[in-house]
Amino acid sequence: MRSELSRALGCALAVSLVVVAERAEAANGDPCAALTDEDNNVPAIYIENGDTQEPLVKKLGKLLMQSSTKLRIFYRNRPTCNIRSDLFTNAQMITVVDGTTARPVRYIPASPTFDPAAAAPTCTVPDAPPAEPIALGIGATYLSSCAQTPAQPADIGVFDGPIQAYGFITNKNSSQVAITAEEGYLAYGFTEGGGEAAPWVVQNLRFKRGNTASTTLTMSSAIRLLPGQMKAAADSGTSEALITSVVNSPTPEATLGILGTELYDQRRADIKLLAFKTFGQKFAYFPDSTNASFDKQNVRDGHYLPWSPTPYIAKLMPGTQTIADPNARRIYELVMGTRVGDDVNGLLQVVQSGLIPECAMKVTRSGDGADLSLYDEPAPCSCWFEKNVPQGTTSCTACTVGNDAPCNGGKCRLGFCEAK
Amino acid sequence: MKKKVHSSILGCALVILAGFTHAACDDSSSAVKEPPPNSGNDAGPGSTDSGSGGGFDAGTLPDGAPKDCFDNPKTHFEIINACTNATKITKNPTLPKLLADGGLPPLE
Repeated sequence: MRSELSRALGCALAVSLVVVAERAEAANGDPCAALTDEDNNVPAIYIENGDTQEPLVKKLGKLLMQSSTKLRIFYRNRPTCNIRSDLFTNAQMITVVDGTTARPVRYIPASPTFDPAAAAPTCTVPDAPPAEPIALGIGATYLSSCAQTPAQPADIGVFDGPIQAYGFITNKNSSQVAITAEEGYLAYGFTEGGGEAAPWVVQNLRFKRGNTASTTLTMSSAIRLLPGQMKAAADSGTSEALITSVVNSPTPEATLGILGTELYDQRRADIKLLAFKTFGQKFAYFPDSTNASFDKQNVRDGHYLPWSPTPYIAKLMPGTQTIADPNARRIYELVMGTRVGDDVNGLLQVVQSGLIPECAMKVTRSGDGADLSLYDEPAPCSCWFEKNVPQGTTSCTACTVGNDAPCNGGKCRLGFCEAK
Repeated sequence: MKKKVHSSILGCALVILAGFTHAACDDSSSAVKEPPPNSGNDAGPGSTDSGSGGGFDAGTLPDGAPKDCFDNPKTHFEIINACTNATKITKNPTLPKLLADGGLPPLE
């Protein structure tokens, strides 16, 4: 009995060692241009992205490294308006610290065992130019919410990517279930408890990101405040830091924070997202049809308001609206589902990262906080979307006749009969 | 003695391994455990519109009762209050700082 147990343990330890050894391949701290145990000749792209977009970057990056046409992503999380500035000024990937928050560069290792849910290894970049150009920026809210300097150069394009939702979060032990826009305004708009929006009356237990971060920009506009008008504890440098503050709060009931919903989706066990009732709305709603689902139904049909598209920013081919860098163009086409003949399913990574492709949206808007209007997608993909989210199901009829072919009076799209 | 130490290390490893296995396999970790909020169609007693957005005229039900949602939304107001099968939460807090007409007070 004892020897069987020893053998089992030995086996488990051996497996653990193999896993540790595999992970060790992804070494931290090498120069990005000379990675240990990696093929440094694999084509590479340097990206700056909002930290809400990191799950997508890692999932997509892993598939790109396993693709028959390999591409290695080096990326750095950065607030959206800083990304805008960098891309609009042809910035290079050099060392950056925003205030006291270091912004490490990370890379996707070649190992097929790389887990996109785990931290990607870091690498170092030069402290000053010359360095690699940042070929793609992936923001997470309308760039119109940023300061408009520097102006957009004629040779830089900004393209709408998938939709990103945000929300108010609280400690898991809070009894609160929902928040109204008026409560958000009164809680964040006044120092300490001056807005009398109980229970959120302790300023040091209200958390926000920096004023150039998409999370702050979109959430402040949802409650008719400017980012700088939000009275909160000291800005959290990253979403992860904000989550930690909410989780560790000594007073759960008074705790309030803001977060991207795809990050919330990964941390549902640790934090609670509040249903949101916007100005003039009769009820409060979660982003999803229930607080346990992942279908983003209320974002897609207009019942849940804090959302924005993710802007993809890149240099254009002269005189065109085509992204010049072929690797940046490939990534954009993959996440939009428009790329043909690639062995990476980018649209699926979008959905499984908690984002919403435009083809699954039924409403649109012109900017952060703007009113909604109906959106008539020419090639809808709601059935496919609902089927592919976590716990996904659909009542749509499956089809195998190919895209655009007639199907139940509508058209076959991505394997399901859509209305058109 | 050596054997005892070896056994202790293995014992610890087993406990840690079991912990990891439990954490990795416990699919309830992502489940929302709180009781589901009101998912009915009624706003509940005492519920009112939050103030902004004006009157709420979505027509009437067959029994003559007023509807609380729009079947064929066109405008922003109708879209955010469209009929849905999603969970609805009634929340109409008393907020002393709001203006008499329900508007937002200026920031101090």
